Amino acid sequence: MLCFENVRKVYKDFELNCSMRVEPGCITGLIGPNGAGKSTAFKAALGLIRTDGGRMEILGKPADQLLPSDREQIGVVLADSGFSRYLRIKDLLPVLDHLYHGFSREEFKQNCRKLSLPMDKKIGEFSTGMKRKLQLLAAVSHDADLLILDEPTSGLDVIARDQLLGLLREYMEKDGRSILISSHISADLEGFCDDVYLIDQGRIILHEETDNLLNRYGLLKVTPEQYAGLDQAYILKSRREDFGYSCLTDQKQFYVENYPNIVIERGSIDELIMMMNGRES
Amino acid sequence: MTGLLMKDLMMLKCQKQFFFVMGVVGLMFLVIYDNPTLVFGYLTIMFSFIPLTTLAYDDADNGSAYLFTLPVSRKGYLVEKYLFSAGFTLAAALLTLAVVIVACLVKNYAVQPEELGVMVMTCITVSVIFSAVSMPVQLKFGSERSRVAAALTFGGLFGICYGGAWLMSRAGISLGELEDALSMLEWPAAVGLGILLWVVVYGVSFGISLKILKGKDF
Repeated sequence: MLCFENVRKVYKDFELNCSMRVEPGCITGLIGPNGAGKSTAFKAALGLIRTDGGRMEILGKPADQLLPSDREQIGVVLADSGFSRYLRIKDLLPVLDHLYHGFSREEFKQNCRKLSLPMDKKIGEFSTGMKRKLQLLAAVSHDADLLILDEPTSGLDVIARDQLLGLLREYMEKDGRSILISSHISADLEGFCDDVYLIDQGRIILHEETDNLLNRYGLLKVTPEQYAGLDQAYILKSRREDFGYSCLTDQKQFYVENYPNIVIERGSIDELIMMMNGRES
Repeated sequence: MTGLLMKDLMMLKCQKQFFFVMGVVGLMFLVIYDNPTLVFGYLTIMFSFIPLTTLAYDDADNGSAYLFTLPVSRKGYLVEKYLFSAGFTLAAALLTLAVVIVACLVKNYAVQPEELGVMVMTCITVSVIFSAVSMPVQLKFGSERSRVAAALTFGGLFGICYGGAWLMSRAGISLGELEDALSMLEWPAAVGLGILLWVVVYGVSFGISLKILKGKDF
C-alpha cells in the first residue's frame, strides 16, 4: 500500500533517510521520540514536501504521480494541521460530499452524534480531542483504502484515545485496508499495530512485528558479575546502570531458560527506543 | 474543484460583518454624493478583496498542509481560486452596477452610458490587477508577511507606471493622444480589449502563482 525506499529529506540540522513498507491489511506503527522524523516521513508520503532522493510508492503509484482521484483512497490526519477553524461541521458536509465520491453524509452525521461532536459550533472552538475526532471521522468516512495518521492521539486523554482507537479498529474490519500510524506514545500502539518501525534522528533503527517485539524482546537487568558470565550472542545493546547493566535481547526465552537467576523484564517499546538510541534513562 | 468552491463559499459566511459595513458605506455614498456612480468604484474594488481573504483563511493555523492532503491538486486549487476571484469580482460589479442604475433613476441623475461603461471597465480592470498582483504575493509570503510584501509590490507597480509615463513622454508619445485613440474604439472592441487584458493579467498571475505553489513545502 505504501513503500519508502531510501527516502531522503535534508534540512539544515536534520536528515531523514528511511525505508519502510505498509502491507495490505496491516496496521503499521511508526514510533519515535519528538523530532525523530515521523511527521517529515508522513509529509513526504503525502507530497507536502519535496524529497532529496529515494523512491516512494502509494497505492501502487509513484507518490509524485498521485491524481486527486487517487487521493480519494487515502484518509489523513496530520499532527499540526486540520480543517479551517472558521468552518462548522455543518459547513464541511457539502465540501466532503463534493471532494469524495465515497463520502457517506448520513454515516458521517451519525458518527458525529455518536462522538458528541456539535454540528453548529465553529471548529476553532472545539477542544483538542474534538478536533482530533473530527479529523479521524473525516479520514474514515469516504471508504479509503489507506489511512495515514500522524499522531492522531496526541494531546488526548485516555478515554478519547480509546474512542479513537476503537474507531480505527472498526475501520479495519473491512478487508484490504491499511493504516500507517505514528505516535510518540508507544503504549497506544503496542496493542494495536501489527508491525512497528522505530525511528530516531531520521533513521529507522528497528522494524519488527509487534508480537515479536513484546514476546521475544526483553530487558535483562544484571549485576556486573552476572554480566561477565553472560552469553552475549543475543545481546543487542547494553547500558551501564547503577546496579550493573541493562541488556536488550531479542531472544528473551534463551536467557529465561539458561539464566534463571537474572531479572528479565518484558520488552516495551519505550525501553527499546531508549536502549537502541543509547540514551540514558 | 467543486468541493473547494463550496469551502470558499462557506468561508464567505465569516465575512458577514464586512459585507454589512460595505453595504452601509455604499449606502452613505449614495445618499451623500449627487453622483451615484462614485459608489461603483469603491464597492467593486472592496469586493475584490474578498476572494483573497480565502487564501488567508486556508493558510491560517497551517491549514494549507491539510488542504493539500485532500483530493485536490495544487493546480486545481489555484484554478478554483482564480475562477472564484474572477467570478466574484464580476458578480459584485454587476450587482453594484444594478444598484447604481437604480440609484441614478431614483435621484434622476443623468449619466452617459459611455461614461458609465468607461467607469465599469476601469474599475473592474483595477480590481483584476489588484487581485492578480496580490495572489502570488500572498502565496509566496503567507498572510502575515504578505501585507508588507503587497505594499512593496504596489509601490513597485506605481514606480513602473510612473517610469513608463516618463519614458513615453521622453519618447514623444503623448498620454492624451493615447487616451483619445482608445476613446475612438467602438464599444465591442473596447470591451473585447478589456476582457483580453483581464485574461492576460490573470494568466500571467496564474503562471507565477503556480510556480510558487509547486515549489512550496508545507
